[in-house]
Amino acid sequence: MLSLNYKVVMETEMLEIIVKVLKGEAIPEEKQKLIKWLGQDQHNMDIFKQSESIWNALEIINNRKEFDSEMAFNSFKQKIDKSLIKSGRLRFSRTVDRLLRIAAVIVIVSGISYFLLMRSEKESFVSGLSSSEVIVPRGSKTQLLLPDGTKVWLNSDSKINYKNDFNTDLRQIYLEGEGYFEVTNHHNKPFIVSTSDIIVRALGTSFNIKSYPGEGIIETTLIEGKVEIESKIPGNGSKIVSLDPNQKAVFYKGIGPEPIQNNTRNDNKNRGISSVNTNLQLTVLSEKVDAQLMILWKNDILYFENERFQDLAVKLERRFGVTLHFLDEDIKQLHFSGKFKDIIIEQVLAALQFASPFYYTINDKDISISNKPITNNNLKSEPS
Amino acid sequence: MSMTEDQISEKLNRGDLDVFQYLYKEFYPSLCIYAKSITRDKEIAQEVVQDVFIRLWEQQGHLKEIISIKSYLYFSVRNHCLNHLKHLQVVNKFNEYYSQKLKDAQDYYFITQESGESLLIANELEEKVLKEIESLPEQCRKILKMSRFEGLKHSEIASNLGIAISTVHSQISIALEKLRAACKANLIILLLLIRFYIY
Repeated sequence: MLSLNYKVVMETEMLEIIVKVLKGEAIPEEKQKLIKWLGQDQHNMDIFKQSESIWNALEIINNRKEFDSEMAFNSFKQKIDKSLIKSGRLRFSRTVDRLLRIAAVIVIVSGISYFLLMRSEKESFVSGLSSSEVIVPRGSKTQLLLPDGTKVWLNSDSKINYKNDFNTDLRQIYLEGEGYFEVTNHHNKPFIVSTSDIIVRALGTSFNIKSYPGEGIIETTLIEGKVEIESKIPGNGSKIVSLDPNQKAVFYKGIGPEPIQNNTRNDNKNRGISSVNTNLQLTVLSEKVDAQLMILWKNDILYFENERFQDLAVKLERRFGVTLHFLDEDIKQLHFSGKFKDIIIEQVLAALQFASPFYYTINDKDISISNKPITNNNLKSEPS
Repeated sequence: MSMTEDQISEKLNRGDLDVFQYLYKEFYPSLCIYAKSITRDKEIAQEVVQDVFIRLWEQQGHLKEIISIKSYLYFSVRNHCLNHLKHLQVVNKFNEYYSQKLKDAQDYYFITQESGESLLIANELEEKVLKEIESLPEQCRKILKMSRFEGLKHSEIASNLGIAISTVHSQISIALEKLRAACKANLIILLLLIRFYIY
């Protein structure tokens, strides 16, 4: 009975101290007392926390009108506008950057033309010709108009090259890398894209060719019209195939480490390996493809579907002009799908982390990827 | 308008302004009050909360999964407040006013073990508490309102009403205790929910 009374007295005293602490009117001795009391029993801590909640609820009731959320939101919007302008400046500098890159392309073009011109001065006795070359570095992209009115979009790390008699009898260009062509229709002048291993012949059509030197296959996708594809190598691969819209032809170079497996994994898995002529190096995939997806790159959209990280890395390297280093082998096997527009590499990586956890560090143009935290591990999104 | 945590996360990552409008409406006043309880300064509190929202906006596309946007906001506000106070203390190294503020804030968080839990749930209690206040004994209610709603110091209440300051303390603690008892069921559930979200 006595001890119970004592406890009640104690509680009343503590309640008053709690009120003083919450009100900010407690003296140091009272704070000490409260701390000691809180440490004695979890129940005491619960009482304190509950009292504190009530206290704060009272404060919220009273002060809700004091803090105007609408006004605050409006000033938030204004501040954001300002930072948008700032990032607009950023975008401006990105534009400058792009202009510089284009300038670089032009310099390279003129440099090479000059070089070719110099060289062709000798050659011109033989052929009477010089040629033009457009080189697009990694991390860049360009669009150009050929003398015949054909529009060409060149993806990162690609180049085209054509003789200066282009458009006289026939229109022939050489492509390395990825390009999308919207060919103007000239009845008597076929448009020919020549790559390392195949020749694509068109009249008025739109098509995409992907032919990077390091890759084991060359892909040709038709968007509209008609094209004919022919292997450059005489023999069993030299048969001509033609494509209808939304069809894709694949040429297997037979080089590199399992190039077929690497590069057509999606085709094998999603569409079946079945093709019109399986015994040939040059085959047309029997299943239709969504050709629009193949040319999203020209609109600055990064698109990939169920792609191995290892393969995706190649795309990212070209697109952003970076180099990816995998510190753990198994990460290469992660699969991702995604569609991005107007993004920077950090945003892509952050988005990929959403899907599968991995760690990365960026050191200028080098990106290391690991399944364990790397030093200075990125913790951007933690509250700070 | 109400949104699920998933919808909020997704919209935040897209930099959708609607979601910010929603978050402002839902949390701005209580976040300010929370910030004010730490910084004991209305202006600083508003600045801090605004900063937290702007940072959230700037991180669009980089946000990992946020399990509870509410916890995220409260913890960000708390950390910003303490950082802000530290900053003020450094800038105004010899300014006793800010040093004292920081000390108070740190004291307070030392006492409450920096859990922040009770502040998170205060938001949910408004309606219930408002109702319960009306059932308090008259003098109790009056003194509580003077302390909490009119912001009077306890010594001021005592002299206004011509009563002893100890009476003010005891009346308010009785009021608080009664409200706590009335809301206890809600409090326990809310605390459990909050712990579930945080840990």
